[in-house]
Amino acid sequence: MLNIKDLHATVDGKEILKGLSLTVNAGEVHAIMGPNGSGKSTLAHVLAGREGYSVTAGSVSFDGKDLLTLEPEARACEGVFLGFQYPVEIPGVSNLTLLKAAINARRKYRGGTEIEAGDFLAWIRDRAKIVKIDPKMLSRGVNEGFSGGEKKRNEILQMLILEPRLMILDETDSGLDIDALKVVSDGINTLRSPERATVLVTHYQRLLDYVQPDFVHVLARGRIVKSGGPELARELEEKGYGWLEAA
Amino acid sequence: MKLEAYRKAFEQLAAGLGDTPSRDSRRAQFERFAAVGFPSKREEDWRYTDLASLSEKQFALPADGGDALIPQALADSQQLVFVDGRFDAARSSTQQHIGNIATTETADDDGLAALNAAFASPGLDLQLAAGQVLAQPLHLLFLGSGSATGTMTHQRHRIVLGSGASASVILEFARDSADERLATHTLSIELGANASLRLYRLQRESAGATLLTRIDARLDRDSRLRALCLDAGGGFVRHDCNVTLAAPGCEAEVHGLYVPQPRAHVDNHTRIVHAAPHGRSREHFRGIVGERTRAVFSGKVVVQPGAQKTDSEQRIANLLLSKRAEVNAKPDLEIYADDVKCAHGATVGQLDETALAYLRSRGIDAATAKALLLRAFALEILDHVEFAPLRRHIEDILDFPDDPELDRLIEAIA
Amino acid sequence: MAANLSDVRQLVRNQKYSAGFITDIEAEKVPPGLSEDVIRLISAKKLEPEWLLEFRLKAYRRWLTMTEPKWAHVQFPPIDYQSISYYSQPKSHLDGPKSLDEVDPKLLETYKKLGIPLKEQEMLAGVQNVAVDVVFDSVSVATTFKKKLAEAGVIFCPLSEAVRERPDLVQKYLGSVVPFADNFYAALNTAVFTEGSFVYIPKGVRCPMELSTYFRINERNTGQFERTLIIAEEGAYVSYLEGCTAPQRDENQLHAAVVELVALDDAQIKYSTVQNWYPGDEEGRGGIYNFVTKRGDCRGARSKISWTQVETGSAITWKYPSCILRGDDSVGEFYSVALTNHRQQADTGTKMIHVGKNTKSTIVSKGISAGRGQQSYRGLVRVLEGADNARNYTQCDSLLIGDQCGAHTFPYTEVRNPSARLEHEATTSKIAEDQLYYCRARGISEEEAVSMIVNGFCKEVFKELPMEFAVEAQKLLQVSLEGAVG
Repeated sequence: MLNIKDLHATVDGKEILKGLSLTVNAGEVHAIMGPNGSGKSTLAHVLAGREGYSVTAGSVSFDGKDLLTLEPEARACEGVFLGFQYPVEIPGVSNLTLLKAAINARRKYRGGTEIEAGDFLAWIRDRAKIVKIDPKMLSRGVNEGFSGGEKKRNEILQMLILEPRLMILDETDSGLDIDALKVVSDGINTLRSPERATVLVTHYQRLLDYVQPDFVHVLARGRIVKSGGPELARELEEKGYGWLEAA
Repeated sequence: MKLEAYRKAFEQLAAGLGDTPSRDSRRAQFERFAAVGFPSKREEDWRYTDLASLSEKQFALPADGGDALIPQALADSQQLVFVDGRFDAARSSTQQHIGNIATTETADDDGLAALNAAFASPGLDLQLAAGQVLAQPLHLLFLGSGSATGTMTHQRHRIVLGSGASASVILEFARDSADERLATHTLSIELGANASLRLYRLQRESAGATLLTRIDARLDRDSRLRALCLDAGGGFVRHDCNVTLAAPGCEAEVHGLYVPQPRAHVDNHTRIVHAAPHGRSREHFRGIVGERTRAVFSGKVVVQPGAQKTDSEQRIANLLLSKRAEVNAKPDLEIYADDVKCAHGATVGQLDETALAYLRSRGIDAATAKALLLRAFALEILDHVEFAPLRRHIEDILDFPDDPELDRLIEAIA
Repeated sequence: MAANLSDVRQLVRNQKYSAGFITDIEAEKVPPGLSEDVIRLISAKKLEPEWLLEFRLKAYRRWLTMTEPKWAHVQFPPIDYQSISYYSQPKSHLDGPKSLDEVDPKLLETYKKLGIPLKEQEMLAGVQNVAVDVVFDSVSVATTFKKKLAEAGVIFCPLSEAVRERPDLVQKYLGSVVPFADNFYAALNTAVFTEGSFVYIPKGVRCPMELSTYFRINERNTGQFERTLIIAEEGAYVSYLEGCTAPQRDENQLHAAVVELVALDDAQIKYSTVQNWYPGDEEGRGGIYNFVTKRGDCRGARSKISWTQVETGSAITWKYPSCILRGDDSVGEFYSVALTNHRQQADTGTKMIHVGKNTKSTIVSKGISAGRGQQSYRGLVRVLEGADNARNYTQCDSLLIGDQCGAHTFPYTEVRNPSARLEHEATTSKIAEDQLYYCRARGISEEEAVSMIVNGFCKEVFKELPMEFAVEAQKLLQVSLEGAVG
């Protein structure tokens, strides 16, 4: 599904990713771990198409398409979803407005028709239950006045509603207490299926207790320095990253 | 003919100067003033303050040797005393920092600046070298003698702080006889990199006085200006305070409180120009406007192109307490950069009736309750006064009742 | 009604005017320039009564002594008032393009985006011989409307018709809200106005329809010096919509309109404007100067006047729809969205003059600046001595898009009554890159994201507009902002 080959990327002229390669197949969950500044978030934003992140070498294909040539919105419509580490507040634009526009953008992209208002509301209510968000909150501005935990749950809600095929979650677990972490994990597991793939960018092993990864990768100095199964995460938890960085 | 008396006074001054370059440049300034005259109400900046009547006045220059009652000096500070616009060395605790500021070019259309420059007598000239710290605040007292009726005084001042230098300066205008007089003051301030200036401007002129002051400050990189303005007098007063944050990282705070006496007119004009990125400005003015008084506040914040990451906030709050009082507030924003955070707010209102009722229900009489609430309103500004002796001095001027227990009560209901 | 035929004869005899001039009269056109003769001619052409001519002349004589206001935050080259033709009514079909092929393709592109029907596009672009009736098949519609209005006793007609039919009302109210010498442009308008609407709602009548649909049919070639007068008698209600969401082809550079509203006891007038005159091109060439005086007089107790405006057009806007809250317990409202893109300049806001007791006013102003646009909010809240318990709430927010534009706020507050409570809040914000990226990461295009954010910013004003207008106004903002980001 996702094929990253020898990816090099710079931010503000500084090279952050230095030859990263990774293959993610449908049905798989990959966890990407690593110390601060190793390039985890950069990878997430390069995949989502943030401006200012320039790819200097390498390729990324998504279902055989060259992802890097697509505009951010086209990537989203293709089925790539980025859960932001710091979800943005957009005062004045309600969550419902954003969601409806996002759903319809996707439908339009695939040549479909706009969603019926009744269907839309029923779908939102259904999904909101999973992440325990009061639908009333959705008439407020996007993330406006939300607590840190609410923002993260809102990211997962958007993901549940949009049903992407590739979910990239950038430190969605950081700053959450245990209850919220469970809610977020339930949301991720709800979408887990043989047709979908997940990339969890995380700092802590804790999330992986609730969302079992198939593969764990360690990112250091802009490339993947070690890959393994779930046991690698536990090893990291015990030993830290030092032993890998030295390698 | 208009301005005739001013010309007469100028000729008198010029005769005393003899044939000097100073006389010539003063004459050039006077002619400029004569051509432009006093600002008119038709000018946007003078919309609420009418100086038209000044043109017809017959002000003369004061005679030498005026005597005034000197108030007790503030603790831990140096006094510089001026009587009728002249430095009184004998009554000052220091003779330093006094100078005749050279007449500089003024804008062609600024009649007031030209008038001030033409007649200017010596004033504060504080120049600190890099890193120099003024140990004690300088307290400048501008007093008037009883014999100075119908006179005018004009003074120029300057504060130049080298990089990293710091100082505190208090300007207090306190002529106490109720005769007709005119005074103009200009103060130019230049703060070097990382310099810091605390400036206090206190005004308690009496009725009959016309006081026109103007401050122009230019802030270099990372420097800080903290100004506090208090108006508690009964005269006809106009203040201009222009601050330019000329280099990145500057900070300007200009706060003020006006509590004009009956029949007073107080007009505060501020203009804060953000000319460089990462500047921060804060402005908070409060007014208590009572019987037969007129208060004007006009504050402009300009964010010039390129002054990104500017963070500016301006707050104006007025209590209007009488039928025969008037408040004109005008907080302007002019923004030419996009990545900025600017907010301003202005309110006009009355004392909170429920707070008043609450205090009275606790056995406090209405007058005291009212005074306490007024003091609480004013404290927001007075809390910016860090020099304790000055803080006490200001509280004395304002004469609010002081009762810590009641303060706590007020805090509890606020 | 004694028409000033003698004046016309006098003019014809006058040596200054050659035979060619008479031909011009036949062609409904007056050569450029302004003089008392021209005003007499306009008045004569419209068969006006003597008092109206005197009113015009009085305004003209005062106008000669006045100068253009300079305080607004706008810049433009001097206007040569002698190069303007002050009477060219009706703007002949012969002047217009013969078919849509001759119309500026950019204008047509905009129509398409706004979803304007083809026939209506032709009308807006001023294509020849497209009669209003054909466009809307509306003879019957208009008749139905007219019948319905007449049954209610509502008068809605061109001002010149009202001068003939109801001179009593016109004479009583014309110039009673905006005096003839109120300001430079209002004086000019008073001297030379030729077009405009008259609305009269009798006592206790709630106007049975929004005076919009009907107006839209008739609104074509609104004059350069338009004059509108709306009177709501005791307990009457009317909602009036002015303007059109499509940019109009218009050759006139200067527009100086005057609108006067009078609300008597318990009356309510809601006046909504969507202004989308030609704004000039990206470099600021061309475009309308829209210098308008709009004022409502809450003359009666408990009356209410509400202004809502969406201003996206014109090269320069100078406009301050105001309320004089004379009646006790009267209410004034001003809701505004103004957008400046490219090199547009707008200096707009309101005045709320509190005269009566317990008067309330609300001001909500939303300014959007993009490109090299310059936008100023200028508002005055004045509380006079007798206006006990006056209340005002003002909120003016600016949204900046790009780093070349400007947003300015000039609120004036003048209070002379100690029971007044006024509150003013202003904020400035920008559309941030990270907000756009967030939306795009959810599959929403940048343009749509901008329009979502802008509409969110403006929603407090849009909700004051009648439903169908609000939708069009949103579309309009979207079109006007195209190319502003990215």
